[in-house]
Amino acid sequence: MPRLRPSFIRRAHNISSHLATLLPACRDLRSAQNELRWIREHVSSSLAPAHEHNVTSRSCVTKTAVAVIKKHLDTEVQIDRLCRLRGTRGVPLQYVLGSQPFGDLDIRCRPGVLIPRPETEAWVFHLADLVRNVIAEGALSRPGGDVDDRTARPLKIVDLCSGSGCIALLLSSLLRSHLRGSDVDIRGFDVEPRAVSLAKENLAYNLRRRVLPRPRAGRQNVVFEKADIFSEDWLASLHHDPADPNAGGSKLGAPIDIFVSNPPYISMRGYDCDTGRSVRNYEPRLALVPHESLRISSFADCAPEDVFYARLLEVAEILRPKFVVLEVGDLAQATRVLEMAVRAPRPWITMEVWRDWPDMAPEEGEDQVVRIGGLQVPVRGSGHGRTVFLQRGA
Amino acid sequence: MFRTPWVCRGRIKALARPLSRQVLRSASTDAPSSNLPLVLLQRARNIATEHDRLSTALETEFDTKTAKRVGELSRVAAALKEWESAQSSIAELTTLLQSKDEELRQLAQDELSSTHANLDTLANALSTSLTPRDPFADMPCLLEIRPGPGGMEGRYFADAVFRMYRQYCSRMGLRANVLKYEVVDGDEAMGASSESPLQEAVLEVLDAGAYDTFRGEAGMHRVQRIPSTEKSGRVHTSAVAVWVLPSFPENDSDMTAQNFNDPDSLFYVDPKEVKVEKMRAGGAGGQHVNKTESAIRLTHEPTGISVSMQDSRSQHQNRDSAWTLLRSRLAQKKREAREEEAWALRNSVLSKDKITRGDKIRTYNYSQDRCTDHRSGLDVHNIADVLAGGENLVKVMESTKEWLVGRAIEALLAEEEAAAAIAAKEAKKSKR
Repeated sequence: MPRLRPSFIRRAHNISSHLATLLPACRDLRSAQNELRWIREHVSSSLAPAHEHNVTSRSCVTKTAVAVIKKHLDTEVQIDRLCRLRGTRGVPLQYVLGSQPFGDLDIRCRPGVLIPRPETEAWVFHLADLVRNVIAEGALSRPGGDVDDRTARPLKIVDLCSGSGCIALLLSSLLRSHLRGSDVDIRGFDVEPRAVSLAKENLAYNLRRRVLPRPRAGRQNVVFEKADIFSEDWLASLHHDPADPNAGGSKLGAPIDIFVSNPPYISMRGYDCDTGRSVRNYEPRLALVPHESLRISSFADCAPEDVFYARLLEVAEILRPKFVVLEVGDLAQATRVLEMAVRAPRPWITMEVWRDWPDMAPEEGEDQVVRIGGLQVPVRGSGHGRTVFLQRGA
Repeated sequence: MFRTPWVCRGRIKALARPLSRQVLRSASTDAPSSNLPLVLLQRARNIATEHDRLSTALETEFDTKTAKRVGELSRVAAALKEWESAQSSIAELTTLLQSKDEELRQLAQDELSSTHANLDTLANALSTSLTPRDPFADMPCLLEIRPGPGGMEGRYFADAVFRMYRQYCSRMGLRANVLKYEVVDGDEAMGASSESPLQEAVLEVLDAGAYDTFRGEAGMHRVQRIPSTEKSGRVHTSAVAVWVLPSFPENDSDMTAQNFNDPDSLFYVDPKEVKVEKMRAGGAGGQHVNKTESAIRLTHEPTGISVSMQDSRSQHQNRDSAWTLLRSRLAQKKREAREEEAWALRNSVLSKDKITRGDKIRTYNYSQDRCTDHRSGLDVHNIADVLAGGENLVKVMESTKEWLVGRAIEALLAEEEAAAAIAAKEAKKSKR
């Protein structure tokens, strides 16, 4: 990382000393100004109500005056502390403020759990649009049932490596507002207990904020559980689940409708070279790079960063979802995942790669198709290759 | 006393003059005349008869379309009724003046003067009711503030104008929302009021009818003051552009749903014509980096209007704000185009007075501590209060609004007269 020029820092300092503090992390003045504003907003909103009580002066006038001054001082101290955390120590802003907006939702963020990314937000929106259109056409109803019948059966979604729960919660928020009379059933799994508890907290928090629709009849529609998706027990538990739709939300029960995952996908080399400093220093490696031991155990023939996809496709064979969306690191990884998917025992009728911004027009020099064996797979949108989308007939 | 020098006598005379003349200077325009022109009265009567006819029709058979029309016309009909009743009471009182009873005559005289005064306001109300209502009048609005060409001073003053409106909103209890606040890099806040060099700011006022409140504010706001950067103490003149755009009411389902998707609506924007661009990170993206910003730029390709937004941490909200702003800008542009056509058709002398963002509308003169509105001709002092969005700003804005109504009445008059002239010509032709 190039050194910041002293004159540049001086210029920032002339505007505000906080900006100069933030500069090492933000690298340019405008984003430093933005971040400072967000920090200020955060501090003033979090400090606002708590301050009337701890003031004990005699006269009412001095009481309020002292309160005002104290509040101002507290605010400044807080802002200074947060700016130092962000700028000097390089902590991600999302951990400093404790949250990241994700669609309509506000997702709590804590060390140990990956911060939701804007690219993820973009593909979740795209997926929700796509699913809505499919529902509108009536193609997602129960096999053999007519369109009205889908009121009886909730849309089943499984999110593996759910982390903060952002994908599951946003899908729930986007789809449920659109599924009149119907419902969604979402199950999220993560190996990290801190992630599972944070995801549960996020569910409760966004329910309180009334961004998420209330569950019907007291039944929880979004459930997060701790599970190691590489363990044989877990895989076996999928097999043993009865495929009975009346079993309710507690059982997974194939076939499901949508299968999503944002697994760790960065290679060892990529982790050392391509990741941001604050990502390396503060975000969990577990959520970014597949552990070496996994490869040795069962998937010796694929690249170490692709281990998760091999497993996810195995799980997909059992759960028999109609849609699969897997986030990947780049177009090359997307191609490798597609090659694995082609070898699946039952064929996928649609395969696509979505770039970072699936709704945008592709730029010049961005391929709109990749070749997998003899197949041509369309690549949609603009940006890096970001997700692999698979669809199977109803 | 009689030996007072003539200089002083002049001053004494000046003191004797009514005070209001000094404060209220009718510089560029006259107040709308109070006695009602005949053409307007004729038009009002026509509308009233139509109103009566339609409302009797409504009694026998209900029809939503007719009911709506009646609602539109009732304003005029009611105003006309009041004016006519005042008119008839004047006639009555005038006959009473001939009365032999001294006391009665006195009473009639008193009553008559008050009724006359009342008649003026009624006539004004009647002509106001005749002017077409602004199509956006009931909408919330966006205020866009940008420095005019040239220099940092304009940028600093733009910040002052931005604060002025924000404080005005909080004083008046209007719900205002900063959509965008962008300052120029690398220059510190300065001056006693610590103004920042503003690049562009957008203030959203969410209350219904905010467009009507602020529509008179659109235009160039000129400032004359000594900038704090100025070493030799010269007065600089610079300008700030304020645009007032109609915006959509939030949660107003029937309005939004209709207007967004209705191609005839001013707010309709074909998504295919809009190019969406996002800020691209240099690196690998995804899990590799944790960006905090999510800038978005929308460009409406046929017109080249472009909007960029990055103020919020939420990319979702940035996108929504950008769309709101783009829709409003395009609506204003379409509307200007429509009005342009209308004005061209009318080919009226008034067309030169149409307010667009190009015209200088107000001057803030710091050294004289004075704010002048060039349209209403109102001068107010205490510029600090104006810039704090205080009582004086309210006065100025009200005078502007009155002026706008006056303009509308004049335009209406010109239109009616032209129509009458054409009708007369036709009549002449048919006689021959």
